[in-house]
Amino acid sequence: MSGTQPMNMQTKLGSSLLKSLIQLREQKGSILIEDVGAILQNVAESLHPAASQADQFLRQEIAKMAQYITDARQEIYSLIPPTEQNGKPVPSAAEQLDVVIKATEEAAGTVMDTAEEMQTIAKKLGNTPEAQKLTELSNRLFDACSFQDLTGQRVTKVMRSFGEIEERIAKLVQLFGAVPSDFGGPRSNGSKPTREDAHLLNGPQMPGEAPDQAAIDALFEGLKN
Amino acid sequence: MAVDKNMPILIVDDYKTMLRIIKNLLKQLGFDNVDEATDGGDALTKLKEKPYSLVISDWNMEPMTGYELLKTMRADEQFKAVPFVMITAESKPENVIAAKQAGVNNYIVKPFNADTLKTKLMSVLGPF
Repeated sequence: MSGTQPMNMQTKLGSSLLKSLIQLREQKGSILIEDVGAILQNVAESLHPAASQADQFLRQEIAKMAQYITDARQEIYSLIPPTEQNGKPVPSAAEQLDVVIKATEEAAGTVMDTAEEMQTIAKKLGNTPEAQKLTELSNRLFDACSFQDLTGQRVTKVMRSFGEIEERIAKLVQLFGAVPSDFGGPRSNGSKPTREDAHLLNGPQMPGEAPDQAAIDALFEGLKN
Repeated sequence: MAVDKNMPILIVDDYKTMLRIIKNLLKQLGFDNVDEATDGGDALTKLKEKPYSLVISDWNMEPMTGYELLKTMRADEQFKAVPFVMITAESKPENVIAAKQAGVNNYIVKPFNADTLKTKLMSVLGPF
């Protein structure tokens, strides 16, 4: 077998593949990866059983590519979280985190209600050490409740990441073609508006990394108007 | 000139807990005339309905951020002179610089305490 024979076969296969893809696009308007996998499979099977060693090798490689596409599809589909289990809708990760935010908000609300009651009692006690102590304690409770704002922001950041991952998975699923029957579509929050300060929206920094108020004051005062 | 503690103040934050905390702190400082908004857009609506003497706002809100609110206010003849204090978890230097360049009067990072709020408000409004 001459060195040009495998090249001729590759060129023929390449042309055949390209022709099939063009025909498919004309018929369907778009080509899905699933379609590419099917075409590769057909090409592999169409090679003559008595083909040369080089052709057999080529056939095997094409069959491997087709199998790879099938396996990749299965893996992508396995990433889709179930939308239903035992007949009940399954909340998404974002929905579950939303519940966390609401629960912490409720807890903080209860603490602040208590703190306000303490302030009311302190007022009735007049200018006494007990009143001052109660006021101090209630202020400490209010200060502590600011945790809910910061944890809420961190959780919201995670929720957004989950939302983006879910959108990407949905796009991959659509790209790969066959959509499972129970796939409800992407849980998209819609397109995000572009904003001038998008690059400045980082949320709370990690403990130990965030500058304290004194450092912020130094920077702020040092900036000219 | 003495600070009028009856001045109308608008606080802006998308977290109810934080709105409540700030409102309580302002009350303890003697400021009782406080309204709330949940984002920049909501704040602008309220600003057009009532003349506020001070805006205290978070940064990271949707659909309109505190930074966008600040810029909008500074570009509007009606609101450009209203004092604006940012209270936010955004603590990177570029945030402070951007806010200052946009015309913020002071910048508080979360978490904060009552003393910090009082000090910053006094620097903006005068001693009280």
